[in-house]
Amino acid sequence: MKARQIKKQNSLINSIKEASPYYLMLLPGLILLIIYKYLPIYGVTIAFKNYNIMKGILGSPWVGLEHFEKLFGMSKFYQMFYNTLIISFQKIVFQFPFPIIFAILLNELKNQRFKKVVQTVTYIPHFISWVIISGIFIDILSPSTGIVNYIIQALGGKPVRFMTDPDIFRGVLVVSSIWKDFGYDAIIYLAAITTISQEQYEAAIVDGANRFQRIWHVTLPGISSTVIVMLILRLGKIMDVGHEQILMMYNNAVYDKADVLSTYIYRVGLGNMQYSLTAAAGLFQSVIGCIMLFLSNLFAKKMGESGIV
Amino acid sequence: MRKKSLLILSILLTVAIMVSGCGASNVGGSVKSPTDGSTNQKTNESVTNAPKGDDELDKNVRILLGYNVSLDNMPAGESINNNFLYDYVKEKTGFNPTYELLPSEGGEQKISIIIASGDTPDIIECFDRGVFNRFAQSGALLPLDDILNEYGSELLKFDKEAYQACKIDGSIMALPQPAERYGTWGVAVREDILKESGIKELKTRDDYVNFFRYAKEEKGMFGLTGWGKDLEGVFAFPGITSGFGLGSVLLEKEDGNYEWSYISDNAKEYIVWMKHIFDEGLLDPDFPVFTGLEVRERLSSENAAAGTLNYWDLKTVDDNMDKVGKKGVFQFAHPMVDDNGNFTVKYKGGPVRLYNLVPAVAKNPEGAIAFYNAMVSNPEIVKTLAFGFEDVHYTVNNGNIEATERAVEVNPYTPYLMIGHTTFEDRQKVKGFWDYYEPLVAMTNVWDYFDMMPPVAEVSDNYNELRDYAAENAVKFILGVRPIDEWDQYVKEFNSMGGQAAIDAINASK
Amino acid sequence: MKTKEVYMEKLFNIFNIALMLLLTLITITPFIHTFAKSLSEEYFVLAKKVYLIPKGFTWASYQTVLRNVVFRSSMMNSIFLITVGTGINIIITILCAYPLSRRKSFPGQKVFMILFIFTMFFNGGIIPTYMIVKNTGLMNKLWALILPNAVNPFNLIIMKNFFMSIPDSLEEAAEIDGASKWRCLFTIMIPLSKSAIATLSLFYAVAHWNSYFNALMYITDRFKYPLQLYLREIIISVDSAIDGSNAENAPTLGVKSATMFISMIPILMVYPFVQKYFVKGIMVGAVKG
Repeated sequence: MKARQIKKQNSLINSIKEASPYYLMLLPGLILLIIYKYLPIYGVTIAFKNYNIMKGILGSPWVGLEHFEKLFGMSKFYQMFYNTLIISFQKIVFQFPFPIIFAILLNELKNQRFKKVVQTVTYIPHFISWVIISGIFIDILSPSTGIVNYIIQALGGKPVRFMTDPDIFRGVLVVSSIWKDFGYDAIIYLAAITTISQEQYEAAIVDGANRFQRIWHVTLPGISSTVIVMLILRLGKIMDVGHEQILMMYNNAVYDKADVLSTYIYRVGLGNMQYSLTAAAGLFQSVIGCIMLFLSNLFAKKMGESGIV
Repeated sequence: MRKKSLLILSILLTVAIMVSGCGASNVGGSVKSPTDGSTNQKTNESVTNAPKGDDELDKNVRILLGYNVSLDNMPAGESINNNFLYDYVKEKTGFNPTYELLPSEGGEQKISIIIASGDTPDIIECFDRGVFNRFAQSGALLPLDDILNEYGSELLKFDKEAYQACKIDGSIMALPQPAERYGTWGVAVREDILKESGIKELKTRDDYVNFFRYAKEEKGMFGLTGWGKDLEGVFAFPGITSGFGLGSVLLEKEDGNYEWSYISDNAKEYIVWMKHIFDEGLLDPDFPVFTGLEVRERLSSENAAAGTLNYWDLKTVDDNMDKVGKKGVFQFAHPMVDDNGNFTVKYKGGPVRLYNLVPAVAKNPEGAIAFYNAMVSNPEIVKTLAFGFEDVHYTVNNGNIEATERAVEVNPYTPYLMIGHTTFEDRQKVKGFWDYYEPLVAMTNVWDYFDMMPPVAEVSDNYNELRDYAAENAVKFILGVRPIDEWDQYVKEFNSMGGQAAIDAINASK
Repeated sequence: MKTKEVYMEKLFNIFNIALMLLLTLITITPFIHTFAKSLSEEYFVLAKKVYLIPKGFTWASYQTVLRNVVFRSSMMNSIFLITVGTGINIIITILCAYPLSRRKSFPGQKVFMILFIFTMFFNGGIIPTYMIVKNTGLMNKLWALILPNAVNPFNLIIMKNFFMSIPDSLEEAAEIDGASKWRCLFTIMIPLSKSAIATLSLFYAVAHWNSYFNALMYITDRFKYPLQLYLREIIISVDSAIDGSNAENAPTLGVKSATMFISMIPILMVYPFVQKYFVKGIMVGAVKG
């Protein structure tokens, strides 16, 4: 008995000794992490206190779940939570595959120069902030002077009020989001595609596979693990629906369908400097995101993929 | 190959920027001296009204300024603590101020964090009344009555309304920078089109509607546009709301109590009227997403015949119209009158332009107040900070101040150095704004009690939400997204969201 | 070669090229529009008469921008951030990702991994973080924008997974030859991960380039502002209801467009460099059998 335990302990100590270079490598990042991420973590308690500037976080009184009660009691809470989920869902469904398909198609281009040009151009919108892009979209979607409606009317239709129609507005959010990020998001998939060895393609050609079959049987499996990782991470960010984008583009007419938790708090909460309420909302969102991440990670592992942890 | 040339290009670019940036040293850079050797400054007098106990006072003062876009135009080598006007102030007052600047957004958050960290300046500029209230209520501010009595004799001469707005429970909790009533605003209208239409004068509701119709039918323009995205949305259309007895956040009823304008009967009448002109196609359907900038664009691009504007915006639009030879076509119209021929347009922003907060933990509040006092008690300083040096930046012709070519050199500095507002009229004239501002003086006529009342907890907690809800529903009713017969339901919702509690508290605290 | 297949291939190519052209057009048009505005006389911009071609051609906007000292210094600051900052990010990310990818031989891997991931969701908020930054002496320094967020867990996961996808056989072969773990990292892992490193460098650089919130909180000296912070001031020029007496100093639309345009140039030049690391067939012939 004892001998086995000692052997187990010895081998644990041995493996730690062996792994000592690893600990050394990890050290700088870990130190920074602890100082700047974990030391301040006591600030999470703001959500459970009535924060008073003069008393500081530690000195402010505890109020337990009062802010959460207020949060869930807000008349608009469920509407906004629902909006968050719907918008996030729409974005995941429509926005997630786009860069993947784009990367694959881009990869199929023969002319390297053209390919590089397309890559560089399409990733530009990512760098233009929403402040500017929202202005552009408002402009081109204007029912009176916008070019999109001009085309619609030229084709015999009636002008569409994109920005002020609550049912259409979400679509505007999704489309503008795709436009902004598809080129940039494709980068990681392009990087993944380059790791697929040429031999596999050559083997497929020898087997008589045509273009589509090559894509289906070589390219897709080759990047599948990247896709899964990105999907898990994306699901983890489910509560993050583009705060800045919505803030810039939304307006009174569409609050019902487009107001999300973070924008509402920003308008109403931060203006009143309600730090505790804001913190409670943030905490709520973090918990959900965390749960989503681990759930999807678990699911991926069950399907045989490597997952994140 | 291409990569090489790209590399070279980017290196060149970086070098170019660095070389041009070499001129940008912020410390110890050469300070321009505008006097050019001439001793024209008539100020060889020593500072009058020197504060008592002069020698005991700490002359080092730290001031945190609110963001101002003009500060960005300082030439190379100069900064907010290093320029000729700053040196002038330092020399004349004997104080040693250190200025810091808040960013253009997130200012309130940054103030909170600075106060929370304990290392605060002596004065913090704050534009937002709600923020001021909040800080005062959490005990972060120093009551200033005693300090003002001892060191701020000149400062106490500022407008009564301004001080009233800074008092909480009878104590002065901030030093006001009084509004110069330049928050005046109105509806700018195409006078040339008006003349063509044959409508004699724009005053009644029917006048306005006929004018809009003319603009649409004969000119293919929208009748009216406005900044619907602004906080209060359509409730902040000055000169239009005036025709319905609206225009203030709080309306006074016959019994002396106040009610929320947002749910009043006047509001319903107004919204219904707006809905009619919207349905007729006279109202710009984009107005919910418009801010001031888009309104200016709409008017400049001649797509609308009337729009809500501040007077400085009108100057911008006018300058643009000048370029197509149509200077002066936009003028502020008489505000719409109600059935009794009356109108109310409020002074936008209230009696206080900005609140100078003094944190409770500030190290040198006495010095700060004394410094500000010194700046307003000396008329020469006041004049210099407003216009610059005589015969350099301005000349005096027959009692009128006229700008010279070098007047622009003063622009980056006056916003932050100047205290008080006695030179307002002259300044507007010098900058060319006066002609746009002057007509509005007769057209704005009330203070909104909301901008002056003491802080009320129910209001501070809920006002933003209520205001948003009102603005949102107003747009929905006008656009037809929400049927107008749900108005009473909307009023109920508004009240149950805290509207009732807030108005009761306001009336109780009068 | 069946003619039908040749025909399909040709069709596909044409379709693909057309699609790419369309996408390129859609993405570049607003860019051109902004460029046109930056070269136009202000009146035309305000009157919405500028589309893709400048009207009333003038360099004035660019002159104003390039003369502005805060703009110049903010550009330098951002360049510093994306060179030094990204460098530090990548080094630390690689150093952390490598041990975390050795699941079997690194005791505690799971614990450390969770430590990192946890911070993706939960953080103390701005107030305590501000205090810590202040107490570690980083206030008002550009390092405050580099050190606290040195490791991005998102990127860490990507790097770690990439390391994990490199076959163990390579490492084992090296160890048999007597290489230490450090050697393995430098001679095997890093050279084989060029595309991942290039990608993550880009991500970090972009994050630095776009960052403004941290600068908003920690930097008080305007000459230390990174570009994005300055840019936002210019573009979201306060259409404030209260203060109009200084409206004449507000940046014109042309200046806004010019600022925006210039500030995009450096980051756009980064990508072509990164591209050359996306090389095909890295793994070919590394280990046989």
